[in-house]
Amino acid sequence: MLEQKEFNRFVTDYNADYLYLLKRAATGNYNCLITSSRILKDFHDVIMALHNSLEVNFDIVPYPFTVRGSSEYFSQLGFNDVEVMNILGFVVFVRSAFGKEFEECMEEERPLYCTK
Amino acid sequence: MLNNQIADLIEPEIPELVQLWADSVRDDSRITSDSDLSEGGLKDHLDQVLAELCEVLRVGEIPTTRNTHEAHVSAYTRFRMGYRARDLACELSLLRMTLFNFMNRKLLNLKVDIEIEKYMSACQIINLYIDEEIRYAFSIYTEPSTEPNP
Repeated sequence: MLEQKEFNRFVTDYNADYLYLLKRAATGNYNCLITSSRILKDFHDVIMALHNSLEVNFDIVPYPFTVRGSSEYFSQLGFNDVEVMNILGFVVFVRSAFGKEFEECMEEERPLYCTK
Repeated sequence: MLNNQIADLIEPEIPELVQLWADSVRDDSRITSDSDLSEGGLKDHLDQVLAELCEVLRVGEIPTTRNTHEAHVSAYTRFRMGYRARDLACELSLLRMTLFNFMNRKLLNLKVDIEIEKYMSACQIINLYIDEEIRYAFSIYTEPSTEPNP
């Protein structure tokens, strides 16, 4: 059975990875971010599923998984206005690169390859 | 399908719905956490929440943690703002009322021929979506032992 301590470590790792993903998006360089996003969203879903089904708590709150967010949300995570615009630009990039919305790409069963 | 029709009614009216909701929050004397918020800060992210709800309605999915990400962002942002939990609960109650009042008025005005089972199914999705945000809010308000570091 998963223990609280291990669960906390999952959440800590997820939070670090999510922040790293946002930091990359914040630079405006979106190459391969879609692949990372899919893996990270799965990780987030697993954390939420474990929290739902096991006797574990959010000792540490996992960041909600979104790249749509809001300027308030991303500001709280430490990003400035330009970086927030770049993060939000990722959604526009995904739409133009893959011809579908970000959320649809997250649910896509086929692999989505990096675009340059 | 009624779920699609309701999503089609809500989506183009999201700015109006957000404004109606914001006005009801400002008018509600039980809510005090909003007093320091600008109009933008108060409305923050609700448009994305409603867009996500429309998508969940269209797909006809039961709302779970997997399809309520923007609702979680909304609750999380309030939590980090220092919003009181009971004020967030009031806000979400007002959101539910705003949505149902809007939806019912539209359906009545359009004289849509509705099967009650389908209407109940759509209502259930809206209720469960908001309930998932409340459930998530309970967790993040009551469980953390440490503040997450940005």
